[in-house]
This record gives sequence, structure tokens and C-alpha cells, in this order.
Amino acid sequence: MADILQEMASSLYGGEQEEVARMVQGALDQGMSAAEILSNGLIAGMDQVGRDFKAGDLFVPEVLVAARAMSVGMDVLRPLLATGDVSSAGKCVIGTVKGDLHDIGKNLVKMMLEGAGFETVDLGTDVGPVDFVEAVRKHQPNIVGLSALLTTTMVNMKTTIEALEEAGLREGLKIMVGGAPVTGAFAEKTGADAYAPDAATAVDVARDLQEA
Amino acid sequence: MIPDTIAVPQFGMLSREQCESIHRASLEILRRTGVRVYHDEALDLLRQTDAVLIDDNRVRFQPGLVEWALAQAPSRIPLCRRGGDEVVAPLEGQIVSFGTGSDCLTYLDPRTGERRPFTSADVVDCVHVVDAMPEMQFCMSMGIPSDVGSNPYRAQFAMMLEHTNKPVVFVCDDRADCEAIVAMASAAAGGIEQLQINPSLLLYSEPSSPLRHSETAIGKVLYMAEQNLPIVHSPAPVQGGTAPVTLGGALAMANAEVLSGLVIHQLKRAGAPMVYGCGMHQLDMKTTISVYTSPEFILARVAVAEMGRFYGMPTWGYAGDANSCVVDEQAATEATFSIMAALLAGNNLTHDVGYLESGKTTSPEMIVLCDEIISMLRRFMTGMSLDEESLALEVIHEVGPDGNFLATQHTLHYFRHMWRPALFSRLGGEAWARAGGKPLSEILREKTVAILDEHRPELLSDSVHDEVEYILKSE
Repeated sequence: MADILQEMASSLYGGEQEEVARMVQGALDQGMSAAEILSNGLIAGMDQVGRDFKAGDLFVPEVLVAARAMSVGMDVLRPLLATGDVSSAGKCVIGTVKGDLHDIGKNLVKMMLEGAGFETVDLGTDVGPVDFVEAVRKHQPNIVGLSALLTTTMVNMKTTIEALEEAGLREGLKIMVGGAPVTGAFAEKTGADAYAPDAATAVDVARDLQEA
Repeated sequence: MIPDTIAVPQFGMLSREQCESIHRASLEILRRTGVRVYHDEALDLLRQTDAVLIDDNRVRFQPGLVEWALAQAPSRIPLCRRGGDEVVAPLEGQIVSFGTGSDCLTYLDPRTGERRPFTSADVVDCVHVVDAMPEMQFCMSMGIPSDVGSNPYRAQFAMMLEHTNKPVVFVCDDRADCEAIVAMASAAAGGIEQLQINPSLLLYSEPSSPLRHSETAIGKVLYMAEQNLPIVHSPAPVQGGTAPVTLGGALAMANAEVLSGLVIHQLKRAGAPMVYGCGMHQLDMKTTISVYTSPEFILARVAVAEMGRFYGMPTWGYAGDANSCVVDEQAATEATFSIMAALLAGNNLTHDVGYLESGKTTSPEMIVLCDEIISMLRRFMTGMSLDEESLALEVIHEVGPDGNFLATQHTLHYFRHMWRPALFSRLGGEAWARAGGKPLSEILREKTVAILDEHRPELLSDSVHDEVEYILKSE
């Protein structure tokens, strides 16, 4: 029984999306629970990816293909998971703030979060405060992630957070910010709960926010 | 041949006509002024040619004799790993191999930061660093141990032979030293014939500028020729002191010194392997030190690489050396300048990596720093591909204006071709601060000490070790 989970973890490590989806289905057909497949197959594989990334043996593109395979596996599992099954992951609405078309950093964070089992809603780029407010109302996320690359647009993080406050959505919602010009000190001024300097750290920060 | 879909950095200084004009100037120095040769056998060899001797030992050369010698010298020398036929420093074409310098009196100890006299243990530590560093293709002794009895050169060679399997460029006092050293190398190679076909050592000797070949230097040169083992007989004229202050004059004179050495060498054994080289320095007229890595020093290095190729001989080079007394910003700047120039010019056997204080101090940290700089610049020298896969039109079209290239197969396939540092930091400010906020100097020290503590080279077999010990004792 455990063999298929080990193979699943190893296929996920290699970014083989179709294999992973097939194995998740196979494990379900063998009668394994969604929670078991998630923690001993998919998350076990991603944990190895995370360890090897930190050790410098794997690099961002490899982490991303593994994350994509994770996300494909999660698509099969998600309808079957009871809410209590996935204690570590949550839902995240993410976007690049108004006036800014840069999305490579935001996409990196999104893919990394999905790799860690988070469900993400990507609002894209040039997202105004009103659009963030609407998305939070609609998707009820645990976390909102705001991204900016330009020093001229990073100020819109603050206006977005203010809009969420005015709409009465701020309580219980965790907001994290990031992007090349953003620093911890700037993040504090925007009123965000957390800041991560890079995509890999963003996953750790999101996990910490969930547990807080 | 490099295919035309690969674009590489290219560099050149001397035109063919300019090489010929330097060559003619040197021929004229050898004809009109001549050189002094303080060695009887060499003078006997020269008497059998059309060279003209005046005042017993001052020799004037006919151009034809010099050009005969140039035609004999081989165009490649494959320096091999100890005990095998694997070429680790192919001295040919524009391939650059790097190694350390020799014989410093002062050691800059990475464990304590102290500058102090070299000991045997320090030489062994330094050899371990050379053995561990992937961009070091050959080893020179780095230090003269102050705690060894009468003959430090044989002891140095034994330490290098024992503690690295990379080829060794050695310095020694006289012919007897050469014989002992060749005997040690032969033991490790499995006999003199093996050593000749797979040379894992090369003698460094010098004419004494201006225009003199000493008895001990020529004694070594003739012995190595007799054994058909490679040498470099490279003068180190100091511009403004032992050579004209101008680069052109110093080069013409140094070239005459090299060519007259080559004539003697080839008269002993035509076809014996010799590296073309001269190490022109400049006399700093304020401090009177002999300068390393000045703009003029680097111009001279480029000229040597190009003159050597003009003559069809492998070339000698200098890089990774600094005038600074410590591994600081000046040392890093001077190292980068000289390493880049060596790679662009194509000096085949480029030594002195790790030198500080204008060649009086060796620092293992400087070697580790230079290894990173060499690695970075070697990648620069491989240039860029412009073939269909590299132009990537298919993936550009697939991704289009709104996508990204992060997790495409094309990125996955090629991203590992990009150079990544082993030492230099690419952390952002906050991550860097979290990791301890260390400057490069601190990371360099930690890495160097870890190599000293942990790296253990491939040892000699017990029987070869015993033979080396025996040769050392029968001094």
C-alpha cells in the first residue's frame, strides 16, 4: 500500500503531473483516504523538494514543476477532503496591486503556495482596491497576498489594505506583502500582517500566519 | 573549431607585423649585444654553431640559429595527473590552466589572520587547498618552509608530490636538485619513460636580466632537456632597473633572453619541451618594489601570450596575484583584472594565484577567492549560443505576451547552464542579515579553514612514499 505513495512522492519530485494525477486516483481506488494520500504522498514529496531546495540541490524551476504536479494532484483530492483534513493549508487570494503589470514574483509565490497545498485565487495584475475587496467577499480566503515591483506602485498596498478595512473585511484576514522594493519596515507601514523577501520564504510565512 | 552559432569574447593586441618587429628587435639584440652564458657545456654546444663568442662567455647569435631553435620547439605540452596519462593542463592553443606561485617567505594564516614565516605544515595546508580547488590545474610550492634543514626545494617537491595528484611546476637550486626531484616524480609515475610521455612536472628557471644565463640555471635547463622533460626558462626583468623602462624595450630584451635560452636548450636536445615566457615587472619608483598586476604588467602578459603563439610555443602567464598585503578590495580587484586578462589573452600555464605583497606572501584565502573569480570568468569566456534552441522562438511563441518562462521545459532544460557562485552572495539585504550579515572576507575565511580541516588528498602508495623518503634522505 505504501509503495504507491512513495512512487507518488517521487513522481511529484520529478514534476510528472500526469503520473501524479494517475497515482492519486489509483491510491483512492485502492481505498486509501484522501488525508493519507495528501500527507504521505503529495506533502511528503513536496517536503523533500523543500529540503533539497534549501540545501541548494534543487532550484526554482524544479520546485515550480513539482508544485504544479502537487496542484494537479490536489485537484483530484480537494473535493474529497473534509475541511479538518487539511490543517496546514488554506485559501489565498493573490494579486499585483494597481498600476503595476509585473507578475513574475506574484506567479512564483502563487505556484509555491499551491505546491504547499494552498488553494489560490489569482487576480492577475493591475488589481485595484475595489477588486481585492470584491474577491475577498466572494472567496472568503484566510490570506490575501499583495505584490508590487515598482517603488511607484508599492504605495497602493497601503490603499488596498485600507479599502479592506473600510469594507469591514480586515478582521480575521491575514495580509502578506512582497516584491523586490518591499522591505520589512515598509510592510509594517502598510498595515500588513507579514512580509516575505522571496517566494520560498512566502510559503513559510503563509504557514505561520495560518497557525497564528 | 568553434561553430559560428557560438559567440565568444575575443581579444587581441599585437598584429602579426608587430610580432615580427619584436622578433627582429630581439634578433638584433642577440646579434649585436649578445648574452653572457656562465656554463661550460652550454658554451661548448654554442662553439659548435655559427654563434660568435667574445670575452670567453659573451655569445652573439646569428638569426638563423635562433630560428632553427624556434622551429624545433614543440607546440604542445600535455601536463598530466600524477601516476597516469590524464591531461589536466593541456598547454596548447588558447587553453588557460591556473596554478599557484612558488617560494614565498611569508604565510598569511587564515586561522589566525597572522602574517608569519612559512612552515612545512603551512606548505602542506596550501597544497591541500590547491588539490581541493577545481579551478587550480597545477601546483607550485607557495612557500619556502623555514623549518626544513638544508634543502627546502626537495622537501617542497616531496610535499607537493605527496599531497596533490595535480601536476607540479617546481623551482630548485641546481642540477643535483633537479635529479633528485625527477627521481621522486619518476617513482610516482612508474619510471622515467612514463614520466616523459605523461609529464607531471615542469621546471621553472630564469635567465638573470639583463642578458645573462647563470651556471645553475643552465645546469638545470640542460638536465631537463637531456631528460626530455618540460621547462619554462622565463626571465623576470624589472623595467627601469634590470630592463628598459619602456614596455617595448623590456619585451625585446626579455624575448632575446628567452630565445638565447631556447637555443642552448634545443642544442642539447632538439624537440625538448619548453614553455615560452617572460615575467616583466615594473620597478615602482617610490617604493622600489617589483610590481605585480599593474596595467603595464598585464600588457606584458598579453604580449607574451601573443608572441608565444606567434612562435608556435605554449605560453607562461601570471594571474590572481596582488600587490596588497592582505586579501582586501585591492587584492580582489587586482586578481580579477589579471585573471580576466589571462583568459582573454590565452596564457597557457598561468601561475601565481594566491600571491599577495607583490609575490612575497601567499594566502590560502586568496587562492579560494581566485578560484571563484576564475570560475566566473571561465563561464564568461564560453560566450553565448545563437543556435535554434538558444534563440527559443518556439517557447517565446508558446508563452506569449502574458505568460512566463519560469516552469517551461526550455527553462528546466537550460537553467543549470547558467553560472552559479560557490562563494559570492546573491541574498537580498534582509535574507543576508538573517544569515549572519557576513562580508565576503568572513565567508572566505570560514570556507578556507573548512578546506584545511577537512580536505584530504589521494595519497601515494606506501612503496612510492618510501622511495620518495629514501631520495630525500640521500641528499
